[in-house]
Amino acid sequence: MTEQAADDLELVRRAAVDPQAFGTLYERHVRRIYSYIYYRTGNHHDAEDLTARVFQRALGRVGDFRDQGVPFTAWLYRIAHNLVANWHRDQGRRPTVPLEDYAVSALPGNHPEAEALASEEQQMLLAAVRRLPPDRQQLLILKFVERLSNAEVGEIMGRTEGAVKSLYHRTLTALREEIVRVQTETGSSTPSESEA
Amino acid sequence: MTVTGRRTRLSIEQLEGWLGNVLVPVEPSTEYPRFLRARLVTFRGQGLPSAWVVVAVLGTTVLLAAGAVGFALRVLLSLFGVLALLSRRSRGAGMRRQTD
Repeated sequence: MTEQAADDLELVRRAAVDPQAFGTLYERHVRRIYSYIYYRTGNHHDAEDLTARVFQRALGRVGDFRDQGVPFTAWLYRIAHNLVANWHRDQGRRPTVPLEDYAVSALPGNHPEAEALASEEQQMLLAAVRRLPPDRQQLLILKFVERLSNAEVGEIMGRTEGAVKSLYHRTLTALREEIVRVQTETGSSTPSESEA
Repeated sequence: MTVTGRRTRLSIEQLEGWLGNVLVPVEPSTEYPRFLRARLVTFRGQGLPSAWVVVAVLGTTVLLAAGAVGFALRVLLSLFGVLALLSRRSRGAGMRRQTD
């Protein structure tokens, strides 16, 4: 268990009676939970709403949290995952991602055409990610946005490290096939191909 | 970074690199974390009340209202009783004077 995870557990024990302890936990985790929900929902408005609900639920149930070897972060991610799943069920649709929501980074100079193309490519990739099953989306967000190891992802998803590794490779293969399918339909290419 | 239209098969390593560039942490607006912290820590997460709280509040209100109406009716009945008593007494005194 990492030092922060142990410290989190101590804060969790105090949080049931001490609001400031919960405030510290909140400060530590709000950004990563927000980021996770943002990628799952595709817009800031719903990300803010659901992040608030995650922490409200955590606050209401923090007294019930028991140390069973699962870090507090994993517990928060599970709440977020369940709320996002409910949100998708209620919405009954796959949300589209507003183009302006994604910043185009690492572009040499101000080239509007290049920026537009890069943004289009990002959109295509994000749309392909969102068409994956929820557990695979979760895996990619935890791996790439949060930069978590397979073991850490496994704690959050309730799987073994080996199962996460296997799911990761299946996810990348499925994502690549989805991208190829979209490319075939639209006649576009990927950045890596363009740079080649 | 331009699109050439030439299509080759994307390798897993290329896909990982692409995902690494696109899936980056997203920050909420600067006010949002402070606002939510205040709501959670200062006001202890008092968002929308849950259904059972609404039912309990409505039930209590109805009971209090019924109690208040019952009390008002009892006061009115008592007043009418006193008035009736006074009226009967004055009528009785009038009849006694006529008899005398």
